[in-house]
Amino acid sequence: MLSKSRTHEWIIYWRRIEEVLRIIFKDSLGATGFIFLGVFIVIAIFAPHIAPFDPFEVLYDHHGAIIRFHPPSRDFWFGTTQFGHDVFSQVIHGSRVAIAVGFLSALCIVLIGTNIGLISGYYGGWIDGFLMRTTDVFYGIPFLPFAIVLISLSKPSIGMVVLVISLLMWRTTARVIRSQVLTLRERKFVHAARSSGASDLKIIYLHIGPNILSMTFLYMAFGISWGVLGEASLSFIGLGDPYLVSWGRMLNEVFISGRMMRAWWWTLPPGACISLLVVGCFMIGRAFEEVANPRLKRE
Amino acid sequence: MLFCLFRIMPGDPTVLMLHGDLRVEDRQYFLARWGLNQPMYKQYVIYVKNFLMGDYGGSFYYNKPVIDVLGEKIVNSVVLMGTSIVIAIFLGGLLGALFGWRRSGWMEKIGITGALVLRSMPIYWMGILILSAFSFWLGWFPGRGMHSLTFSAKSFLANYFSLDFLKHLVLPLLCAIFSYLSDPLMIMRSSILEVYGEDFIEMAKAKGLKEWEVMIKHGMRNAILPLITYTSLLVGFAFGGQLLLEIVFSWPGIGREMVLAVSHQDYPVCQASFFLTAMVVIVMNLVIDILYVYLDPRIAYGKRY
Amino acid sequence: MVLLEVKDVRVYYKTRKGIRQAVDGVSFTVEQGESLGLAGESGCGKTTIAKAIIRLLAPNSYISSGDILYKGHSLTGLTESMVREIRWKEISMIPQSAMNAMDPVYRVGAQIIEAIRRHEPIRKEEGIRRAYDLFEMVGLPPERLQDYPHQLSGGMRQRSAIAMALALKPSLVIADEPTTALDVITQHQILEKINELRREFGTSMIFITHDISVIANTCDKIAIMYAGKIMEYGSLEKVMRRPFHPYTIGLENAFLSIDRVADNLISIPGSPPDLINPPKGCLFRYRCPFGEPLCLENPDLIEVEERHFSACHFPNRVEEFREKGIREEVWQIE
Repeated sequence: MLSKSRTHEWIIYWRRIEEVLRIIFKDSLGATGFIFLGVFIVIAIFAPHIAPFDPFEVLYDHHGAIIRFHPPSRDFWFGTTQFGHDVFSQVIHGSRVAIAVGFLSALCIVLIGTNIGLISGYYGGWIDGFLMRTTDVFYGIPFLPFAIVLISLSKPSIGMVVLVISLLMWRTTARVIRSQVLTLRERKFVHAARSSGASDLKIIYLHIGPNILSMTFLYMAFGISWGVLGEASLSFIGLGDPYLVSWGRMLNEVFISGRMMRAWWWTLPPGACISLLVVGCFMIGRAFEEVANPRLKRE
Repeated sequence: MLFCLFRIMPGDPTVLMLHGDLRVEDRQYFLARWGLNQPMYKQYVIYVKNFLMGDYGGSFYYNKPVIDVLGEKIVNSVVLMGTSIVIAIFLGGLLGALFGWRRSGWMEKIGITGALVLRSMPIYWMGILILSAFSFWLGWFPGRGMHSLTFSAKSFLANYFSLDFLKHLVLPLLCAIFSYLSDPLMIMRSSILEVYGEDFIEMAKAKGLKEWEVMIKHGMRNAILPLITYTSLLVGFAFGGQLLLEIVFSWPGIGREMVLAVSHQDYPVCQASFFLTAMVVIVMNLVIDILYVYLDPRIAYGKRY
Repeated sequence: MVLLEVKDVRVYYKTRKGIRQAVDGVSFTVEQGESLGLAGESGCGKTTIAKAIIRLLAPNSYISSGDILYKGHSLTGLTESMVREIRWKEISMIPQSAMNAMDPVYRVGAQIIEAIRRHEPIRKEEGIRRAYDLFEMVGLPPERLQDYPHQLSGGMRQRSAIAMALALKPSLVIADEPTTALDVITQHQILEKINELRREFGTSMIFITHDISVIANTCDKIAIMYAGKIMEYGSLEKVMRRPFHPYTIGLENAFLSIDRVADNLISIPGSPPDLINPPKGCLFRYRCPFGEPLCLENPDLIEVEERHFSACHFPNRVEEFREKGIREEVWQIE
């Protein structure tokens, strides 16, 4: 008996998720953004099959010389880099890092931020004060410099990147979720749940939780964009994972080579991909903006 | 905010502690310099004292006191960053207000789309594109650094107020402004939308004021408050952007120095630049908080019946 | 002398669902020194027509037909910049809630001076002096000019709004529910003050309200509006003492006033019709207990007494209306 009602209660989450997806798709901007994201996810998953070469494979011509700085051609759709790597393959494989870091960091940001926001907003008092003070600390820290210090202490790796991003970016999520929880806390259904004897934990996750789901999704979308941009920035400085190809790293290489202008085929794709992916996330975010703030709707 | 200061501090001694792969001689140097062979809390106090007094030890790489290395660079960074933030907020705010005030279909859509796109572009990519276009291709502006090689400043001020400096300033400034524009624009836009429905806007029109007068004097003046709050966020975020810009444009600032320090394994410089960066952020936040109180009389003055 | 003449004005709104006929053929006049009360429920169009006079309508609304004449000149034909000249100097406004009508980030005195200096190029000291005089006139201590709106009480804010409205000695003041947001005592004080100032300066006024008892204290003439049309129109005494229209009769019994003892308040059940594609005929017939088949035809304003008009087909049944109208059960139809 008990387990049946438990699962029944958790179904509410699924229904809310459906609602959220409906919101996204109703808005044309949101739907487009979702498609962008979807395309990149697909590319990331099937990268080894789509890319004609291994991203670190050095390409030789029939004389045995390395093909450097070759403009786009039939063999190399996006041309080659200074090191004789195929740009197209690199771009394709770069999507893996972008998507992976994006999703992982977004997940962490949302998990940390939402939970802190929920707990802080629900309990109030000194717990709230303490947690908010902590978030304020992170507020003052500029991302890149701190990230540099942290990564310089250990070895650069993709794990570090995700860690650093997650560590610093949860702040806004926590704040926003907290203020939502504060308003929800006073609503009747919470009072009802409390008087029917539900435990605090249950109230937080079963009753209040589903109602902030749209906010959570919004920040998940933003989180992906922060993750992608953060990873790219760190790789551009040279603090990214040295064993993986990423779009930021490609930009780093092209910049160092000094031929950014002439090797436009190398410069443009990685930056464009970052922009497209991030734009997609923002478009999804915009779909929620109109829900959260109906005054922005056109008459 | 003052608490922030003291909480960032613990980060730095621990950084020192964790330097496992320092060369043995360096370690000894450090131990002596910072008195690490003394009990922990004493170390901490010494550390804090030194930092506050501006003594950051010596740079490994340059073999000079860190202060000498970083001193001027901070000013360079602040000059670029400060100017770009001020212009971005101003311009973004104005455009956002215009978009929000007159909801004229297509222009608004283009503006918002544009803002969205600019926001998504990595700042260094934009920098590279701008460099390629205006420096390499068109040759209008120099591509590196803050001054030409042949330039020598006659005085401290001349450093920053010469034509040469301005020519070098244009491209990074442009890039920064484009990158930072979109958030103020969107914030001001939604803020103005909210303000527009207020009665006092109608009242101002009823008094016979011109449309733009109403928009600026009453609309923007009220809508600007969320923007001020955002500015403190922007300062924190802009330091990262600043760093990247300094790399792309070889601007001799503290961000670039920090990255170079990492590659040279010059830890004192690295730490010190981080510390100084955080300090500047905190100071700027303080200034912004004061500004906010000044601008919103509801906070400054209580009720008096 | 006729100061303002509204001639068969129609104001329509464009909405997603269609065109909303907010004001549908309204005519009235305001003489010099006269005070006209515009009464009716929310949404009846009284605020819309008032705003149309100084062209403060929302962007999606427009004057579809009719004309508004001020001192003999057509207002609807003016350009925007000409209208701006007239605003405040000739026709000013007292808002409903002065709290929201004053900019919270500027001092009250500054806002008054702003209105003055927009139309008269005077020096700052002169402006301050005039603001002082205005505050004294409405009974406020002049030091309060330095305060911000949120620092004043509701009554004080309303008084400062009155001061601001009279700053340029306009010929016509439009008061949009100026006392609705106040408690009864303050309401009384404000109304007294308005009357006093009106008499002193000979200002004409259009007094918009949904509370008939308030009109009884301040107006010379009254126009009762419903669903965008005028139902009854005439001097205060005639309309209040001898109402002809069922709606007027219903309204008068719905409000408590200090000088009238009422055993029971009657509220007219139901609500006004949707003004997007409104039905034909008398729009009040859905809530009127005295309806007949003829009501399916739109009633014009008939002169039932000298200078007293009613938009009902049955002025002859007025005795019956008045007698039955004070009984609550009569209004509870279906």
